[in-house]
Amino acid sequence: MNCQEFEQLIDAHLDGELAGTIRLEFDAHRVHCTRCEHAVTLLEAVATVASTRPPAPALSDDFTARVMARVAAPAPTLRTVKYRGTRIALVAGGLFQAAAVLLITFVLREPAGIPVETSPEKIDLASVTPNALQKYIYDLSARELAAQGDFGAQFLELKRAAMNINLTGDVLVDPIGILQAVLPVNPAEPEPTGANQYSF
Amino acid sequence: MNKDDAAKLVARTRQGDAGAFRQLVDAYKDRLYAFIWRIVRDHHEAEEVAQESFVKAFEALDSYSPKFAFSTWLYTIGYRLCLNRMRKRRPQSCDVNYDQVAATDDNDVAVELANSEAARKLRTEIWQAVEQLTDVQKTAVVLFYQEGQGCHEIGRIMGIPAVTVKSHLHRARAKLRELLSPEVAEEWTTIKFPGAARSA
Repeated sequence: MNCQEFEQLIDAHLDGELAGTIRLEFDAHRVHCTRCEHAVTLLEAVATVASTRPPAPALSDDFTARVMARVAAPAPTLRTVKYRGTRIALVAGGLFQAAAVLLITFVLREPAGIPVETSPEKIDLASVTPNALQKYIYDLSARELAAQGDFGAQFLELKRAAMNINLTGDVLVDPIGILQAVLPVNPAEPEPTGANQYSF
Repeated sequence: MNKDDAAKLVARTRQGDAGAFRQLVDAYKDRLYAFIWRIVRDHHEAEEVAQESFVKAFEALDSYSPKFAFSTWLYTIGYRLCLNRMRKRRPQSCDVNYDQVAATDDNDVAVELANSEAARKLRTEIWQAVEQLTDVQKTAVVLFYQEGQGCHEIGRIMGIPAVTVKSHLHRARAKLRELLSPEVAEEWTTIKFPGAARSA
């Protein structure tokens, strides 16, 4: 065994892990090598000295009593604060949820529209928004046009319904204009020319 | 106190027997305090940490597993509290008079250490070198040599793998070899083998 190998085994020796032939070689090397012998002896001295207990200051006589007093005493302040904090958090959460429901219900909701089944004469224009009125007219015209195929009859009926609406202020309703906006614009049919094969 | 007795006292404490916990405190307070004092190096702080360790152990008693030694678990709590303290302040200087170390072993080497001038000088030099180790190295050395804990137990206390404990011990020994004078080995040999020194 050389000095490098001996050096690598010092920890194992101090930990009591060397045995067998390795132990024999280790002990034989330290007998013949003064440098390695001093190195391991120094650490053996540390081990022996470190295993003795240097005098720590004396522990207080009432140490155990103080420990027992602490473990026996409840911690009401801590529990009260926790309990109160939980209650406050629950109440605040409930109030927040209620406020959110009210906000959604009364503030952020869509304004009520006019049901299309409502007769025009029953509409109070002062209580409806222009958007609601416009939507009502659109819905009415679409429903009427979809239900029956006779465009002419529907148009007359729609015109009659629109004219029965009492309008105030600057609200102007042009049923014809609205129908033109709703219905697709029919491209003007081309004037017949004499160019087709059926013309004379 | 052996492992079984400690486990019985823990079981009784869990059932509400305050006297059982008092017995645990009395059994472990001196060793725990000495271990903590070795790290924090201040009497009042060491008492506070030791007291806090017992209180936290009492509060967390339900989490203690009897498959580990109660001392290991207690030391773990104490060590973690020590680390918290050490992080908040700068390291203290050594203030122990190692000349007053009393030999607690019965073997001849320990008696020599306690009685001779050379032994006292050796003791002081070695402990002063140990004080210059890092906190983790010093903890590993103290637990290994003073408390006689194995690397696995030390790893549980310090929250590190056993191989890391071995690494800390290896580095601690390497640093002590740098710090200690070569005469330490010769003085140790003289103390250990007085006849050989006289005949040389």
